[in-house]
Amino acid sequence: MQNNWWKILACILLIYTLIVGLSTPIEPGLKSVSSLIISPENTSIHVEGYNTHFLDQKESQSVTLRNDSGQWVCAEISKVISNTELLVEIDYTPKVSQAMFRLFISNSLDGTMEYSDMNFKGAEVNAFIRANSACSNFTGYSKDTFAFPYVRNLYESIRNLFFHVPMWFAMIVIMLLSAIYGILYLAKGEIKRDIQSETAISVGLLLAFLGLATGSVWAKFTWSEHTAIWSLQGWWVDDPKLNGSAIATLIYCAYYVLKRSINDKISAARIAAVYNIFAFVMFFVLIMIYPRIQGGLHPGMENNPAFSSYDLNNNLRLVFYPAIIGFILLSIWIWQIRSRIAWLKYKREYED
Amino acid sequence: MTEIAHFVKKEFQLDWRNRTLIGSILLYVISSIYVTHLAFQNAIDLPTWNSLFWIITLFTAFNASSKSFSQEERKFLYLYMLISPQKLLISKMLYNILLMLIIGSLSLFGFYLFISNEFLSTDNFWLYYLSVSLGAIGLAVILTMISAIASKTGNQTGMMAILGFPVIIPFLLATIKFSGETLIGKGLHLSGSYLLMMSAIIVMVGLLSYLLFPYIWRE
Repeated sequence: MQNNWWKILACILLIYTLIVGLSTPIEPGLKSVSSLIISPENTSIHVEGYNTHFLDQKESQSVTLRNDSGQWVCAEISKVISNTELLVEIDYTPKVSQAMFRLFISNSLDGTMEYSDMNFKGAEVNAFIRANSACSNFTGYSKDTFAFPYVRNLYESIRNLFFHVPMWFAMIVIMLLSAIYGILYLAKGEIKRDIQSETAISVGLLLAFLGLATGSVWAKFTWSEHTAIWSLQGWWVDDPKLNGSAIATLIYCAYYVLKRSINDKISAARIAAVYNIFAFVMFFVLIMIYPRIQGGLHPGMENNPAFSSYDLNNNLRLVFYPAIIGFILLSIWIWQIRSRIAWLKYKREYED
Repeated sequence: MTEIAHFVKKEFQLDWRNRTLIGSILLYVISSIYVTHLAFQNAIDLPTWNSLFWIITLFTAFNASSKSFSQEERKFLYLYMLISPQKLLISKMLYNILLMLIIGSLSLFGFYLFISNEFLSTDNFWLYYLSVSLGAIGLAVILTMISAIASKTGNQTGMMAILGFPVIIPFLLATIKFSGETLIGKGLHLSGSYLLMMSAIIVMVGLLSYLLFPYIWRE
């Protein structure tokens, strides 16, 4: 029991990830507007919400627009169609100091939701206007229940963060362990270390394929929304992390080919260990350098693969960090069991 | 030190006497450049020129360095008594570096002559040549180690491709990026980080090979 506390911890963390990660609702948000352009002829905007309660919260609901210069434009809700649809009537102003506005809709249950990039067309831009005080009919509410942030085009799939990203973290840890056991094998020459190193790679490859699968599904439904679900397009996108992980998978598949192509068990183990250490260094270079050379679609990737630049909020972190630890511990557990099985098989084959 | 010099000299003498290796590599470079010339019909832009150059150099490097250790298997015991594995590796690496520098210069000349001469000018030539040299050194260093690993398997050329291509990609990408930047006239102050990256990979792989090679060589 004393040695198995981390297995219990892994189970607790993964069950916590599954329950909290899948059951926490997504914050309400504004999904789309009928037109981004507001002109004297077009002041009525049809707004579509996500997880919103427009109809239930009709009484406390109000709407306004604001730009970055702190200028407010008043608006009112002309018709509520359903819980997720309503019509907004905007008071068109001819003079604005900045044409880009953000639309805010607020009610007591959903809090304040915003939609950016509303453009006042035909208005006199840069006209000097004193910043208005807030519109009298607008009341901003804040939401205080526990929820994951609403990100347009991610929607519910934001939960994949707790499964897709930890797969890669766990894979890197497992591959590092494999390289360390390769070094141990070269130093001591115990065949058990080689078996442990090889099974670590098999677990790492399993994680790599799972990471590729979860990433592929995620890419299809977020970055490639426009493609038809049955078409092959969009399951694979051109992104350095994706290409990097595919190359890493190739590097480690080659390890198996190398090991099987040498007949002598001992020299196969030694040469494979050398290649393993070599491959890990190149794999590390790959994941450190490649994203810096080529910007990509992944978040926080302008030219820096640092973890701090993921746009995480605190609610996501509350599940994300336990998920990482949970998946790393789970993969170490799988690795331990698999290497024990492989070691017993080896003993039965060669030592009887 | 003299041992290493003797070994590099021995390699040159062997290849010079035999001439099949050098001849086949020369023929490989020239014919692949000529095929490219015929296939592209001068309809080529700068990134394509640069990428094609590196792809042809990469394949030539694979060809040239895959033979590094295959001939040594027969005289293994003799070599084992003669020289320490580290020294053997260094001499092989040096020989491959020299060979790759010659191949790189040659294929640059071929590209200038046959494919297009509008991208290289006196302004960017030396910086581009620096990237070619550094790329050639890196390819030689990485592929020497890969060829040492592959020589221990039954299927030398096949294993070279399987093990070498994925491993070489990070270095090759940095090289293509750096040489592309120098080609469009960016100075070292703008593209210097790639230079640093390439040098770091070369030094790291060199050190790693130095440490790990004895384990491959020991039988």
